[in-house]
Amino acid sequence: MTDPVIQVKNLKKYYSVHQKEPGLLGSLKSLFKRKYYDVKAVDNVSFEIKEGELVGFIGPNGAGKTTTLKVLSGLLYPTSGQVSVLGFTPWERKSAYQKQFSIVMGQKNQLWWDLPAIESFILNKAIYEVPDAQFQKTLDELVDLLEVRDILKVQVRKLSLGQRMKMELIAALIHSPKILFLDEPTIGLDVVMQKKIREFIQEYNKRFNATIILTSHYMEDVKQLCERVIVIDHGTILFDGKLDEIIKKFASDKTLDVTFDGKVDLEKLKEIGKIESFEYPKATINVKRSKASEAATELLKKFQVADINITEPQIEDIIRQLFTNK
Amino acid sequence: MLSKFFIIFNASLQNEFTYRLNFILWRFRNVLRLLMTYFLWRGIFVNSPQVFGYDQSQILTYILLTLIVVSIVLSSPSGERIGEEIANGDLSNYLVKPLNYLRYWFIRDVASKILNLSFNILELSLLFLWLRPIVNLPNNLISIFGFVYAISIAVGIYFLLNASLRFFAFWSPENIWSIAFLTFVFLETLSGAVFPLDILPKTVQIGLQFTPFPYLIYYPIAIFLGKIQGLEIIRILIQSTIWLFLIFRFAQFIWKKGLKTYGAYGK
Amino acid sequence: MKNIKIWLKYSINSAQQALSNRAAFALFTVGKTIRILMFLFFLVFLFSGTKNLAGYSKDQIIFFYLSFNLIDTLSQLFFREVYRFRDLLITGNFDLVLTKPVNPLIRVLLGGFDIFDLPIAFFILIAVIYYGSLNLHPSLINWLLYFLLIFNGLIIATAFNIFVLGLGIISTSVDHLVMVYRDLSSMLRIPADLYIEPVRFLLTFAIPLGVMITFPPKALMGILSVQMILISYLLSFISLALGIKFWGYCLKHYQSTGS
Repeated sequence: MTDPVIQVKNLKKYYSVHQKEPGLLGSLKSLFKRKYYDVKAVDNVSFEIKEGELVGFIGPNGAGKTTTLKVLSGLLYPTSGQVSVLGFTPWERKSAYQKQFSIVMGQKNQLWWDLPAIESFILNKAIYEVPDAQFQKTLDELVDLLEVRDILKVQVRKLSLGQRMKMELIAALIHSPKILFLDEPTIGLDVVMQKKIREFIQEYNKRFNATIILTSHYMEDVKQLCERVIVIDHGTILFDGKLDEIIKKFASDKTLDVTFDGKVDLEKLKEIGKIESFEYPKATINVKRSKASEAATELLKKFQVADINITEPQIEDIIRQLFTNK
Repeated sequence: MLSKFFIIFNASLQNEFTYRLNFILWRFRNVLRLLMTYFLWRGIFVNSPQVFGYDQSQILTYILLTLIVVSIVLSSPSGERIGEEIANGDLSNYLVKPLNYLRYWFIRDVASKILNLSFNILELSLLFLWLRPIVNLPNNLISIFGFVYAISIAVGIYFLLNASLRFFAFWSPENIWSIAFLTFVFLETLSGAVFPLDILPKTVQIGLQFTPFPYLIYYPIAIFLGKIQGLEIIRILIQSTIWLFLIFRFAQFIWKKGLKTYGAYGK
Repeated sequence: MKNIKIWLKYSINSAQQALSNRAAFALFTVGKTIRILMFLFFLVFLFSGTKNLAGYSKDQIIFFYLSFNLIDTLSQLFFREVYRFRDLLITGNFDLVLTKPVNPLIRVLLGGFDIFDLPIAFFILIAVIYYGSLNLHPSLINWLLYFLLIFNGLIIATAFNIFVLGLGIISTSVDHLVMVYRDLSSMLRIPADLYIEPVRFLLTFAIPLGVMITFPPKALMGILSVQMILISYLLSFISLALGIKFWGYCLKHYQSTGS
């Protein structure tokens, strides 16, 4: 087993925010006197990530995902806690560290707006001190992977959102970072483009054994890409593990999809479990997770059944439940 | 209509207070400008009793009035925003609302002017108590009425002039700040904000009447100080009203043309 | 070396962006020229009534004014990017500057070399040399001191701009502060000695704008003592050190915007 490349221990990041009373009078008052309160953006978070892992951060808006990424990138100084990435403390902002990671934020850009994207790549080449040969090789590889060769010399402002995101990715990867933080990389993109970016991320992870942390609002991104997920809400970790284990841990029910082959006594059927829908000859029944196989046997015994299926609930539903139950 | 006005007005004022440091710096800058101009002229008068045929108290009176008039007429945060919003397409957010875009910004400007003026008066009075400059104000009712009228017209002229300049963003958004910059260079001096225009040669003064600039600062003050009197006042006021009308039509014309171009772009 | 290379790349990119718009370039240059000439006329006009101002002759006053323009234009030439810092902060794009292995000041302070100001700067430099030699007859040593102090003035300008940027990080209020600085320095279009005390003292030493703008022409005219020259270097290095220290402090308190 390799050592973890990212270690986070008891990380806390509190912001102090000022409150304004409504109305003009409140505004005037806030000029002179302000009330502050703490927002716990990240509250005692710990985790470790190994080399080559592709981990997804899931959580609602304001859960603390992005703040965590920003601390890992050295943008923010934490309130307390220890963080080590590749043996560095991010907020010391050592060049040696900065040359080994990259952060891409779907809503922020680093490309020069009025110039072709290639100019920004060349600038980053100088900043990251990438040797000529390596630059050319990496650029070729990325350009081919993302299929953007023909638009390299087009002014960035004339590119579509999807094309621009691809260019942002190239700009971020031109120095071949070992660690990559992706914050909502597919935001605002159409389904086809989302898929392309996703495939690219997967390929990049495999080809270069890069360690990647990804946050996204689109469950599809996380489902397709991440074996392991960390679920965050209100600044704390609710779950850290394999994606399918979320289901075992948080889903209380399973669903039985039955197709009948004969008469059905509705009253009797109700004894089996909660009927979600019934439209002869099909029925959907919710049962407790632990009782699923028991219920299935009972169904087969008491009814004439043509077909029966036991299914897990959708991850989206569980996650939604997880956040709304809070 | 009136309630809409007050809501926009109120929101604008609150907006100004949100960034505390920004607000404080804004006021600080204002006081600073006042002091700068004051000390500049004090410096100039150190060893000459008369400059341009003005004595020290006359110039100081003129300068202090300029500062008030500038804060009423030229404080207009809308200008830049209008250009920006046209250039980046935010204008669309307004166009879909039952709202007159120009009127909206005018209200926001008025809010800013009122705020600016009330603080300005406060600051001026404090400075007055501190520096005790000798000034001479007339107490002539006609002058005062003329002044009030001239200044209202000036507010309109400046707003529309500024807005119609920014409307060029419909055609060339990348040039608009340089167009505006060039205009303000002229405006700065030719409006009379730096020195009274009557120190200029007569022919230049007459020529300037065919531009909108002197109606913004110089004429309101000249009327107030009684440098212009009788029928002359009426002539200047009529001329300024004509200017307001012309610029109003011009702004409307450009706005309509511009909207057509804007729609064609499909931003 | 690496930093200079990156700065050059930034400058070339900025120039490319700027030059794609020649109309703006022309309008800007015309506007600036007119603005400079307007105040020059005002000064000349001022002397139609008097022979001297606070002991300075017309030639001297005009030279002070030219020197002011030289420093003012040079500092805009190099530090234009400061004016765009607020945008960088509120869009959050500053995040992507901070994660790079290069001093962020190179980007936010020097990253926007403004080619628009280049012709103006050049003409003013010519005007300074021509007008200075023709009317004030300085020795070579005086010229040397003059340019050394101009350089020193740019160090003070650097310090001031770093301070503004730092304040921007903790409050996002960059715009007004930059303008306060511009306003204050515009007071020195005329020599600091024209202002009454304590304005003169404050302008010269408290905010070392006088050192930055009034001292170089004084050195040229041979009316600046050696002590004052040493003091001005001391002041500039103190301000620069304080500016950099403040900047470090502000980076620690950076609250990146956006979720």
